[in-house]
Order: sequence, then C-alpha cells, then structure tokens
Amino acid sequence: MTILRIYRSDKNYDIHRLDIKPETKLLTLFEQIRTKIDSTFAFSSECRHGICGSCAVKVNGIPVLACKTEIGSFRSGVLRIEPLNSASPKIDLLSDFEPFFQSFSRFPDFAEPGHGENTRPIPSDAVRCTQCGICFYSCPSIEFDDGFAGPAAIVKAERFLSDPTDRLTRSRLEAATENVYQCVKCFRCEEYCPRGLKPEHSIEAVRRRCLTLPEDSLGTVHTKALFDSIFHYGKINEVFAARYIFGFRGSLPLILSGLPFLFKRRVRIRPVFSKNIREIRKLLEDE
Amino acid sequence: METIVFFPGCMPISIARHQYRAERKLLKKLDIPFIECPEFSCCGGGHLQDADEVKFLALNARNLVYAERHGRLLVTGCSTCYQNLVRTAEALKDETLRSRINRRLNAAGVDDYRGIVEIRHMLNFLASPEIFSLLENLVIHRKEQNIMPFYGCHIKRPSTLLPENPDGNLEKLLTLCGAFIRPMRDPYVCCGFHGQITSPKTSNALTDAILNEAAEQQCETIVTVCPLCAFNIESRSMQNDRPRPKIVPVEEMLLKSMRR
Repeated sequence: MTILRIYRSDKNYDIHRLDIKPETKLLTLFEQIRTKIDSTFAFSSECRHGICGSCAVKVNGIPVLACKTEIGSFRSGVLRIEPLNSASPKIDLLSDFEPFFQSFSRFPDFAEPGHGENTRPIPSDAVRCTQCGICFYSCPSIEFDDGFAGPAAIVKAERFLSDPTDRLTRSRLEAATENVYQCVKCFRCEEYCPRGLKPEHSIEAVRRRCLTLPEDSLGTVHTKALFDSIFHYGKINEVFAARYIFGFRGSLPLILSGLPFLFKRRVRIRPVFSKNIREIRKLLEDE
Repeated sequence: METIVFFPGCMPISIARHQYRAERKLLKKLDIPFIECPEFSCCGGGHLQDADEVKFLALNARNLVYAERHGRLLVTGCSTCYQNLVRTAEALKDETLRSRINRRLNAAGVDDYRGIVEIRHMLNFLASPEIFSLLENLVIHRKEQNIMPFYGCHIKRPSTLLPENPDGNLEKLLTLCGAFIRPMRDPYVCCGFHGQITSPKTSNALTDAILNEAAEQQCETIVTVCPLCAFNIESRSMQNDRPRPKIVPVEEMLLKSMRR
C-alpha cells in the first residue's frame, strides 16, 4: 500500500491510498489518477522519455522527472508530491517557470560567431540540458539570494565561454563575476540533474575564467585569498584570508567574532605551516 | 589492526581544536594505530578548483602520496576534505591526467601518485561493523538528551562520486550514546559555510533554518560530522538571542559517553 499526498491548489493535499506495483512510473500514476479518480487534476508532461523536461515535480522534497521515476525508488511508503516551484505554485502540480526562464537572460544567451573561419565550436555537454528547472528550484542560493544566476544559466554560459568562435566573452564574464559567486557548493544541482550534467563543474570553470578579468569582485578576491593562504602556509589561515579580503581594519570585526572560540581553547594563535612547504609552493606555481 | 592515515584538515588544526583533540583521543582509546603526516596541506577548501583545477588535483595528489607512504587507508573527519580527496582520486584514475599530474609532482620533488589508498570519512569509519563493535565495549550510556543529528552536504553529495552512503550512521552512533534522536526533515541540507563571504544572505538563511529546527524540536545539542558545519552553525548561533544549542562533533560526543 502506497500513500500519496498530492498537492492541489491552496495548500490542500489530496490523499490517495493505492496498491501500486513498485515499478510503476510516477507519471503513469498521475495519468491514472486523472482518468479514473479526478479529471480536474493538473500536471504537465510531454515526451515521457526524460527528454523534454516538462514533468519535473518534488517527491518528499526531492526534485525528479515524473516520467523517469519509479514509485518503489523511495524508501518511505508515504509520498508527498508537490510542484517544483513550491514557493509560488500555480495550480496543482504546475509550476511557475518564469523566474527560471528569466535567469538565462543574465548572460547573453546566444553566441556571436566571429573568430576565424577554421575554428570550430568545441562540443559541450551543456547542450544536453533540457531546461527542466530541477537544478534551479533545488538551489538554496536561488531561494535566498537574488544575485545568483542559477545552475542552468551558468551551464549555458560556460558552454558559450568555451566556444572559441564566440565574440561575447568579455560581456559574458562581466555578467558572470557578479552572478556566479553566490553558489554555496551544496551540490544539489549535480545530485538531482536528470541528465547527469555537472553544474558545479561549470560554476568552477566560469569562476576560473572570471579571474582573468582586470577588475576584482568580492568573489575573485575570495578565491585569490584562499589560494594565497594555501601558497604561504599550505593551509587555509582564516586570519590571513580575512585580512586579504577586507583589509586590516575591515577584517577586525570578523576576527574579533572568533574571540569566543579562543576562550573555549579551540584556536591556535600561532599559524600552522605544512612541512615541506616548498613542494606545495612549487605545485601552485604556473608551469 | 592496520595503521590508518589520519587527515585532520585545516580547520581542526587552527580553529576547531576541540575536534582535533577528540579525534586523536578517540583513535587512541580504540587502540587504532594512526599516523598524521605533518606534510599534509589543505585540500583546497572547495575553492582552489575555482582558481586552477590542475593545481587543485596536484595539491591533493601530493596529500595522497604522503598517505600512501604510511598506509592503505586514509580517514578524515572533514566532509569537504573527504569530498575533495575522493574527487582527486577518481579524476586521477584517468591515465593521461595521472601522468600529467605525476610529472608536476616529480618536478616539485614529490613521488609518483600510485592510487592505492582508500579514502573514508571518520563517521563512516566509526560506524563500520568492525569499529562499531569496539565502540560498543567502550561507550557507557551516559547522556540522555535530545540530540539532532546533522550530516551536512559534502559527506553525501554528489552521491555518484562519493563511495560511501552515510545514511543512518550518525543515528547509529548516537543511539549508542543513549541519545533521544530528533531527526531533521533533511539532515543533508547545506549549512552555507562555503557562501559565508560571497553569499551571506544564503549562508545565514540556511544556518538559521537549522537553528530554528533545533529550537522547534527542543534539542539541547546538534551533533555534526564536519568542522566547517560546526563552526558555521555555532558562530551564527552566537549572533542572536535565540536559544543556543550546543554544537558537538560526533567524536567528542562519543568520548563524553566513555569512561574517563
């Protein structure tokens, strides 16, 4: 017996108790509910093969494509099914995708071909993205920080940045340096992507390109601070990094906030150096 | 028992020394021979790959080379170190990349990376049947209190990369200590540590959500498995007036429930 709690409009949940084979796909079940139980039940679907990306929903908080997910793949016998964008659901399992589609406009979302005639674009994994919105609506930074462009938009930006024929690199990077550093590296996007893409790797790649910009942003300074700290000490030294980012005076509040930890005998004041630091410095130098 | 290589990570050495002390003491109590190399460097803290991926791989390969000198099993108490070391080991299974990194290592005077060391997280190591049976003999039920187990993200995600599934391990250890477990809705939620500087809004919101859940569940203690989570949650809890739960690393929790 599987118990389904399916979100309907206005925070109401329909409860269905059904005997279903564990290998039944979630989407098949939705269709059965609509034909046999409630013809007003709204959800979206198209290809049924995990290609179109239109049937994404959240099951017990985990975003999945309904057409690819079997009922038996969840440990719990109670499935709470909600629309992907649970913050502002539209009707039943239909989500408001507007913020997601808007996120792509943070960067020029096309390539402007230009460099040389013999250069070919490098094939990129990013073209496999189906824009299902799963990464976007499972991202905590999207929920709390307006500054973040979102994993899918960054994957697309990286695809164009790695394209030698594109001429918009500079403006893409200028947009990126303000829009990619809000990622908290929770790896949810990578975990849940139904196409097996690696948005975290794309975010890293775009951040690496941002370091080539002449102007610094908070994000690039943060990366440089940690890099320099490892170069000097072999370890991350919090005081060194704070001073690097905020300057001597600016870092004082941050450093003073560590005082309670000092009183709890948790802080080593003398900096720690790795043994054989020369090896580390040599490894971190450019080849 | 085979000697293990203990990789503490930067934070337990610099600003979370209570965890460092607890980890070493626990391993001694369990009579597990361990070696900690003074040569170990930072794993990159999740941010070195934002600067240069090859340097990130080379730095971690160096850590693994030093680990290979002393044993076949590396255990770390930090989830971010665990994730980065595993990522390096997986990436260097590629022959071309490995020879490229090895050339770099040789140029810096470090031996070749061979890829023979297994990487495990301290939590999974402690909860493995062999060690757990040792713990069962040592732990005496002492503290009966409401405890919220918190895993954090880098111990499980990305699950396609990380070899071990930590599900239930923390609960298993805490039950041994006699705790009343108050489960979180999502114990693998991110604490926001890596966004502390670059996205304070997200970081604070995530940490507040954890603290609020602990308050709702009337937990006196949150037990963590990563020094970064512990530091982040604790420093946030000091910033406002809500009830402050104790943030205790799992190793310290186990030690507290043992005979002195």
